[in-house]
Amino acid sequence: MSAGNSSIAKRTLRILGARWLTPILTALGLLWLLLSLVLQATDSTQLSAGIEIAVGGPEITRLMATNPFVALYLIVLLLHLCARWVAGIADDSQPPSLDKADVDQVLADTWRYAVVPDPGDWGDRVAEKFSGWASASTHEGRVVYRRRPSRVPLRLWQAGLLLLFAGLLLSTLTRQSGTVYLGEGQVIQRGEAVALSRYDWRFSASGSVSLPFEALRLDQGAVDNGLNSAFQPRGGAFVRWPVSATVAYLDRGAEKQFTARAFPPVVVSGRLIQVIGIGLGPRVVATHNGTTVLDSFAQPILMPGGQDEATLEMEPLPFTLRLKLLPRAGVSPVEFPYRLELVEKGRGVVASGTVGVDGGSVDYAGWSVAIPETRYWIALNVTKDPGVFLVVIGVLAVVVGLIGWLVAVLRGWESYLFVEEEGPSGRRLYVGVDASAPARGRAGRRFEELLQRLTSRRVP
Amino acid sequence: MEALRIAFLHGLVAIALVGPLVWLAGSGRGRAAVVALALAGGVAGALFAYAPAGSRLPMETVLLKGGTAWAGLCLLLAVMDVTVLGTLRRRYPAVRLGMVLALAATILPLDGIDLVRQVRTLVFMKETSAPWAWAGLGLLAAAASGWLISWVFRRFGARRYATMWSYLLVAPVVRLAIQPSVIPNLESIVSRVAHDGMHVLVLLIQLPDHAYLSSGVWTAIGLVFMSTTGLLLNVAVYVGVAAFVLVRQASKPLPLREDENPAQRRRRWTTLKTQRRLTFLPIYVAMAMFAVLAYTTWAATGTPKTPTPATLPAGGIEVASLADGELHSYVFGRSSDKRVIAIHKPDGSYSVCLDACLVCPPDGYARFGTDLFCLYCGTPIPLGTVGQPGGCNPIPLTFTQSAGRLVFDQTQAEVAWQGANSGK
Repeated sequence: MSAGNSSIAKRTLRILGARWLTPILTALGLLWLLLSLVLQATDSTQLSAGIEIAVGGPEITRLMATNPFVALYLIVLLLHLCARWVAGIADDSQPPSLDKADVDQVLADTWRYAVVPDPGDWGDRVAEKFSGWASASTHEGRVVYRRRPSRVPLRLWQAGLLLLFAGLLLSTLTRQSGTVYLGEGQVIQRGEAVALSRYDWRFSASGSVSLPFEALRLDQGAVDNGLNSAFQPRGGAFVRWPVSATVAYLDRGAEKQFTARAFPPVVVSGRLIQVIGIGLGPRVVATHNGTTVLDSFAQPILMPGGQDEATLEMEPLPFTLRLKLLPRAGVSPVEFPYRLELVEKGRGVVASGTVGVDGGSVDYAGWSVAIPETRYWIALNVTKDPGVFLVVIGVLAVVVGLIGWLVAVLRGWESYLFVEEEGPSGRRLYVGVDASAPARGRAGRRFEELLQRLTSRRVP
Repeated sequence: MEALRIAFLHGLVAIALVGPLVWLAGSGRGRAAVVALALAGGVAGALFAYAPAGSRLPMETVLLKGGTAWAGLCLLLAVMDVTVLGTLRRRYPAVRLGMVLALAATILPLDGIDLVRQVRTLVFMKETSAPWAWAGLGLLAAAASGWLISWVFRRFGARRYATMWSYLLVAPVVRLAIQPSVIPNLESIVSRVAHDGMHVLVLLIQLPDHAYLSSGVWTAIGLVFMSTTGLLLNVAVYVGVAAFVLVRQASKPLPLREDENPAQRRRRWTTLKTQRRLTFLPIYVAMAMFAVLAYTTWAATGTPKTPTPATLPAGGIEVASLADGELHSYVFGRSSDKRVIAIHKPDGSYSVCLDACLVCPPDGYARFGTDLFCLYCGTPIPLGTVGQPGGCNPIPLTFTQSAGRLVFDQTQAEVAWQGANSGK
């Protein structure tokens, strides 16, 4: 970077990080939000209609996701806060300054003090004792040594908050999320449309999520249904129903695979993928007077431990299929038989029977319906959202920084002041100490050691 | 006499709100301007409420939202005062006067509106103009009491402890003491922010649906949505802002003087510290007051009870099932998509109505204390008026009571429902 560019960058940083911008930006944003929320909170639209249109709605997520003015405001606010953070880091690395007013203040605040004869080399003796401490001096020869809580955890905590904010903003502006329904034995190509929602399920959007792979394939037996031998969810402290599926995919011609779970999501080529649904899809075969008119898998509908009854309306059948799973010990749910009822409008149940992989059909007026096969289906949620990563890092930084900051604050701070002055019986040294409450025990001991060091004779 | 009580209370609150501003104004002209502006604001509010144009506005909503905005603005200004504005205020007297005058002008219009609204209601109910006279007397009594209180406060040097930031923290609580109906509105704002924040977090960390996560996780998430959490957060916001202001003020260095030795300085600082602590006292009282007000309002409000629709019994609604005095809902019609509500009212009579009115989409009603509560527009319907036709009231149905059952004509009810649904 050239000197000119560097100067421009510094000037921009200085303007963006100006302290006076913080209250102005905060007040603007809070007033805006407060007004919007106040007008909306009672659900009366008589007064809030205007403001609702102006700010794009009262809910924060919707505000951020749908209103460009709000997004612009938040971007400016984020840049300002980042600039202030950088300026703060720069301040931290500067040596502390000291002027007369500071010295007077420390003098006034002094918790313990002593006046000792000037040993002549007090500067060296003190410097040895306070090696590694921040120090500052005035031209009158007054010196202050300070040990304040480390600012690193505080800056880490602030960085975490900024990352959270940035992640949230990035997420609201770029997030795309869609659901892929995949049955065992099924292959989905990249070009196939995936239902898409913008930001969250309440705001649908046109377009589709591009899959991060050329093709997805779910093989037979690749699904772990997460059930125990009694067909109940296996359970855990965090995930109650640990379903998972191993999905094969093509990546630039090479076949790879990943295992998706309910939580946490697996990351594949920058996309977050997780199983958000599992079900049994029965293959319904219907013949009319010996001719097959329907042979297809139903969408995922049934699962022991979840919903085990379903009603299907499948074209061109003139009746509704009502299915109920009949669990059987010792076999996989995909081998369970079904209780099948044919329901005709206005007439109720017209035929019923048990069908399944072992055979059987339900017949009525020339129709015959069978379910010779059942497959697992999973619903895979695919999310493209770089903001999530920032949020996760931000949360970690906030937690670690906050703990570190609390520890540092609890350790307290100490300040030692040395003033050389002319006394009635020669030169003398005023030594004062100030410390926060948690550090006073430590500061008292250090003060005594310091006095000993200053008053002891040095062996030549 | 009721008008006297109302006007007296409003007058006292107005004096409590304006009095410290008079002290903060500093100069004689400034003080006169504060009083003049505050009175002008109150009169403007009263005239606005009395004027035909103002009468057409939903004044309860104006008071509610106005009170909420004023309280929020005070807290915001308090934070700004201890961070930025305070320095400007001390350096430039014009800034201080501007702040004081702006507060004076905006402090009483809502009280003017509220007082006139309440007195007009009394005039209407009693069919006499006497409440106006009583209200005038009440204001005079408040003025006299205010003068006395002000004299006592001045006698004990209370004005020394009036600061802009303490005023900005205490004034909203004084206002809320006489207008506690604003508190649920503040609470709903806080709850909404918490709710939306949690929603965003759940979304961002990709938590799956209820079926897949353990109930413990969902219980933890559900804590944010509890009404108790809303109450606690509401109090926490006020206490948090107040604590921030207190810490900022308490950590400010005390002034130094060149001409004093350490002993003199320690003595002076002890006095200054005591004075500083005394300026904090109103804030401690305000914090406690706000917590008590928020709790009592929360405890009195409760939550709406939305009835779960049951299938209409074949022989009609059983009277015995209404004995609990709660609102009951039934589905009826060929496709079971229409609803009626029935209730045994506190006066002993029964009402059977459609679960819809002539105005709103038919989202139905919930029981909310002594009112029904429209689930679409939030309008409260006093239980005593349920069964009367018109407006936001549920559309009443003609019914007969026989053999312990309430029976109505379902065909007519279906026609009425379709009419309500199509806006007829």
